[in-house]
Amino acid sequence: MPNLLTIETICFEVLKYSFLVPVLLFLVFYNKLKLRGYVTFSLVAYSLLFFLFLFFDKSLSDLNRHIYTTSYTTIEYIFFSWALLLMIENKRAKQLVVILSILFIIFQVTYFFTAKFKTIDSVPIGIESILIFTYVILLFSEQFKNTKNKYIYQNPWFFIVTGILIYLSCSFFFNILAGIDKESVRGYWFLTYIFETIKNILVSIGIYLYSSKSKDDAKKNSRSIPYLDMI
Amino acid sequence: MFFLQTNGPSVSTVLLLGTAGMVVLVVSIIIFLIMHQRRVLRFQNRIAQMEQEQQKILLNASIKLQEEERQRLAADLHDDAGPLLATARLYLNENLVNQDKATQLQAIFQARQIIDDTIQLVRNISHSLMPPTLKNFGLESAINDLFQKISGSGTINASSRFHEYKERLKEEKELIIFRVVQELINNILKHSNSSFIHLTQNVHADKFYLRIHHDGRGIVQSDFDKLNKSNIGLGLKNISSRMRLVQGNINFEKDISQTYYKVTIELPKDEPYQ
Repeated sequence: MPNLLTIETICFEVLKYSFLVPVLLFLVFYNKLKLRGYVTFSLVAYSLLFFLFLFFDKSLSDLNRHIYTTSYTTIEYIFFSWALLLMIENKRAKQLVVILSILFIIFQVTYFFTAKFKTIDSVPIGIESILIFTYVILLFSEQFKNTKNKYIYQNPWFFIVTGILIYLSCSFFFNILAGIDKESVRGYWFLTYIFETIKNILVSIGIYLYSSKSKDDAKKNSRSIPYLDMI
Repeated sequence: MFFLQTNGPSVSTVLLLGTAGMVVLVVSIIIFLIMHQRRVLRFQNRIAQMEQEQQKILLNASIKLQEEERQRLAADLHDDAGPLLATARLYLNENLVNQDKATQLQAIFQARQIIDDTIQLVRNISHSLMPPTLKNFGLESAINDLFQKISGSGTINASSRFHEYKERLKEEKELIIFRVVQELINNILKHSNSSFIHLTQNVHADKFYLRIHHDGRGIVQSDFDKLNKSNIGLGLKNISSRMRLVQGNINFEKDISQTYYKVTIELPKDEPYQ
């Protein structure tokens, strides 16, 4: 068990500081990223907030585990759905995301006050995952119709969405089963840290690509104004 | 749920198998998406490339046709107008003043005749470039005029009928359609060996239609497409590029009775009707 604990601690520490990578990238490329709108801002805010969550994990968790896990799930859902909402262009799909999100928040409040809390809020996490998968499918189907002669992996959003998808789908069984048999899941819990770290790395790649995309846009704009240097 | 309610190892197995399944599923979905999109893009690029090649062929055809037209014009001016004016100049040389009055009058009369012929020649050239009937009275009159002239030659029975042409198309569109009809008629006269040509015009469901029927040898759509892609059939390529310019379609087919050949020109009604 000490070995497992060490692995879990290492993975947790790596995860904790991996949340800082998007924040650092944002600070380095601030001038380029400030033009990219709210997607990068929301992801950076999410990363910073969750770094703080993990930094004070023990004290916050001890304070009230029920509130802590519920707010963790809710805030995570809000940031993910907000980022996806910004990426989706179709108006109807956007409306669907908003409606489902409102329903989810209502459900979360109701669940918080009515359901008996065990180790983790498995049901809300399960619903959160399914909703986010739905939004990801909506985004992919929309982007497939609109290829614009560009490979899908050249888009920054692809890495961000892939990161979210990997994290939520691979942690799905952990979150569901943790409510049933805490002890069996505990031994492998470090895997969720690895999946979340992968997500943070992919989000960082997405943010970096957003910054290089701004560079391309700037070049294109400068090309569209000919002979400006001659004025 | 019985499986989940049993103790330790079973839950661990479910957990590991489920997570492994999820990892495989997500990775497969992502790989599938990337591969599928690559294939779609490659296909789109190939289509774009083919379209570009087709456009290049059409552009070459139109340039070649333009050159041929210029050569014809140059030949008309050089071979007909040039000698006529040179002859008129000969009649009006310096020695004319030393001639007697009758000879002078004779020479002036001859020169005038030649200049009149030259004026007529220039007028004919000008009309072949832009028919005045088309400019002044529209497509209907120009096509009727063209068909009357063909019919008047006595070799072929040509008739045209416009059913719904209350508003004229835009001038440049009329010219394009007229040129397409001219080219088609020219081809029919040259290659089909038909005894009649009949043109009808009408409007149906927001589309403007011109249909040409003839009873000679003709082509169907597959022949037209083949000729369009080959290096021969300059006139047909020119028709294609003109139709593209007015965002119209042209369709070559055999009549339902399989007796006549039919060419249908189709244009969107809302755009040309201004």
